[in-house]
Amino acid sequence: MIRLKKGPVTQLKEDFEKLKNESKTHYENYLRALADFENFRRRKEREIEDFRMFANENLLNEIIPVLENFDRALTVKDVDEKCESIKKGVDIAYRQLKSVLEKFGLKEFSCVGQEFDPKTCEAISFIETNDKPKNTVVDELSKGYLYQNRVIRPARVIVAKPSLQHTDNQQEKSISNEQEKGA
Amino acid sequence: MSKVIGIDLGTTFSCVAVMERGQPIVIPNPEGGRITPSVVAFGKERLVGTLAKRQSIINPEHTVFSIKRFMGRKYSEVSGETKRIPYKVVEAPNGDAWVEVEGKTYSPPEVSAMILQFLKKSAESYLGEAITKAVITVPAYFNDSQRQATKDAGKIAGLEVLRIINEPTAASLAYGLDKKKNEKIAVYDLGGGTFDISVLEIGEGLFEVHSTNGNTHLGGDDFDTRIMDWILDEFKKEHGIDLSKDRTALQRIREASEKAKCELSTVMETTISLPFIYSEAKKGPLHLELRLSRAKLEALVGDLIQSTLGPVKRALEDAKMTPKDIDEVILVGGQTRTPKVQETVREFFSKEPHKGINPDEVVAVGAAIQAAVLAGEVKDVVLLDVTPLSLGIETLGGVMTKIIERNTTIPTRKSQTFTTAEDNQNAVTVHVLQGEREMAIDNRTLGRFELYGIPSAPRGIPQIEVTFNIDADGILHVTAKDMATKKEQSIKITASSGLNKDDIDRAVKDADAHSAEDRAKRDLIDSRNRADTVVYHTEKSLKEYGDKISENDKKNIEDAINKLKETMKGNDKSALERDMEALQKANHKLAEEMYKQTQAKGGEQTTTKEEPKTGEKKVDADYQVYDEGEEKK
Repeated sequence: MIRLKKGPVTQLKEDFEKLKNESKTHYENYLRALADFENFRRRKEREIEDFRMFANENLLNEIIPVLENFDRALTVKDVDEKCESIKKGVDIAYRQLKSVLEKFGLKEFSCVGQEFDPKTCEAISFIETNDKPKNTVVDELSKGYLYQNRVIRPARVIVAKPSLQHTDNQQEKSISNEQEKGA
Repeated sequence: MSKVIGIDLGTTFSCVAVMERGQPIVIPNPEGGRITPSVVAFGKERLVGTLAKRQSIINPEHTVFSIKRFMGRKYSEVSGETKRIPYKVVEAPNGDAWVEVEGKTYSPPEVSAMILQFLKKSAESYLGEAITKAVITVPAYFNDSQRQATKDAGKIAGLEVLRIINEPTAASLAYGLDKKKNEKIAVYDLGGGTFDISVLEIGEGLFEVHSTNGNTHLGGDDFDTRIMDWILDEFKKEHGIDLSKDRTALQRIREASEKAKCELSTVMETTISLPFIYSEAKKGPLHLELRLSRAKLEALVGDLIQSTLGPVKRALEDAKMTPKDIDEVILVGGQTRTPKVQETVREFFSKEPHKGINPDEVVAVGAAIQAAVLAGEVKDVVLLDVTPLSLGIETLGGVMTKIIERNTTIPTRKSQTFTTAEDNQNAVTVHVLQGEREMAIDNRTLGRFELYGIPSAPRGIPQIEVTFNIDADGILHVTAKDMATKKEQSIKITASSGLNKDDIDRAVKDADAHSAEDRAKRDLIDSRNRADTVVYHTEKSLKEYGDKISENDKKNIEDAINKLKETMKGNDKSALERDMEALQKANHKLAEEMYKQTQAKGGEQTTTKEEPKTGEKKVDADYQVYDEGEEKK
């Protein structure tokens, strides 16, 4: 059988196809790189804005426990006159501190009386009662805090649950502990 | 082709990461957390992660955590685990362990899929693109059915699982250990609730697991409990009250314990402050303030840390190795941040463990690296070079003005506009330099060319755009273009021949060593150039408006000019600054006059507009050239 060599035109056609495909791939890669860049740019803008808005978040997270301690101090009851007077002074200073923090975007909130919402509350324990509707927040261990309208510390609450039969109170407690450990 | 994400699907926490051009990025969830609790809650709405955890206490039967313990397992195998959890585990028709919540049953893969879906959505929302593929990690001791269950979970979540890789392998990848040959690696993973030790060997790019061991119920939480117990003890000693009965106090103490534990990883001592921790009828409010030192903490948890060595020894025995045989040690899991843990591991293996990557995230990072390789990213993408040393031109005074900073990714293009130094200057020399020193003469000459035909004009008026363009092959093109005549001249310089890493390092070190003196030289030249500009403009103004001011004022200005000209011959920068200021002061009278004239005429101010700026850049040429400092696109 006579084998014919590839003619120049055929070779050119093949080369052309090959280059055409390469060019297409390059173009697609280029578009992809552009798209990646665009996404990256937008994401960085968001992050920078976020960072700017929430620059104080770490500081506030550390201050919140201190605020809570002041709160505790001021709820102590049955104090004598002198203590009462000191309490008053501390109260003024405490409110002053809170208003400074409010200026910087920190806001306190309470969930007592509302339906439990995990977006704003963290359940610490529950009370079995049929007096309140199920999943209502009946008490709080600490308030919640918003920073620039974002929840940075959920309120720690106690929730109402309908009375259930529990065979072993001890078991319930240990389940909760294990849950906290595992979850 | 979308990005492939790497997922660490953990027992208590999960983490997702992705590679972007060689850099691992840990993706935060909508709540901003870089790790997500592996918890799913069923109820009015389905919750995953932090939100699910927040309601776990009031919804224990329907909050599923640690589902990983049931993945790929038969109901008969897991009786030990089912006792520890408040949600219901049932036997499926095929014998598998399933969970039952709200009357419906779910397979563990289905529950894990909910977590994976949550992570997938987080990634999509963070990256702004659809994600369909992932690499997921599993413990090295997972058997086939456990691995298959994980793969199924991915599928249910809408992810094509390109590969399931072992967690210790992922950690090794994160530290680049896949580049090593025939090395033995020990991965020490101490997390929140579990301890795992794995012995691997790397050879020919493949990881082989020799042995695994551990303690499925030992972790950082146990450390917290030790501190808690100590606090309760101390309080009991002082006040005779057992605070463990008080839920509120216990909660505060638990949080304070965890916080103190974390702080003691970086400081030697911390204070645990819990005022008003308890209220007693007679005594009133009681407070707790304790100092906890790192040494005391180490005493409290020492035995826990020591207990990890048992499984480590057993794993080594199974692998038929001794601690000395191990070439690399990796730390994984948040609790390995504790200095005592690091010390114990270091002493045991007689080598420094790898710990630079966030131990909570290292497995996800490794998964992301594997994901990138499988996505073909490493193959397809062109690895871009950087220009190793700065590039620029010589400007007035013999300084080098950088146009492209070193380590700029190429290809790249940068332009800067320069101008002439003398009146009626018709040509500029572009002297192309490479290096980090301030003075042109201390850098390497790459090339030199001239641009002629610049129309005659006062100095500072012509605009000459100099462009540096490095193409994908690393070839540098330098162009100088006169913006008025559009005349241009250029030069092509091929990639730096014979510049090896040592040359580059030396150039950078030299620049550092001489930076102070270089800086001083440059500052002096900048001052001198500024002085020159001030003299030029003042002389010009004097010519135009000199007759409008008194002879006395004129003489003051001329004297100041001459004094400055003298100082310019020397090298005293502070003298230059001083005399410049004196001249500018003397010039005030003249300036006043000029303004009066302008207001009368309503004409444009040409002279004051050309106030010299600091850091003015100049192109040194056969003729002096000045720069206006404006960058053109």
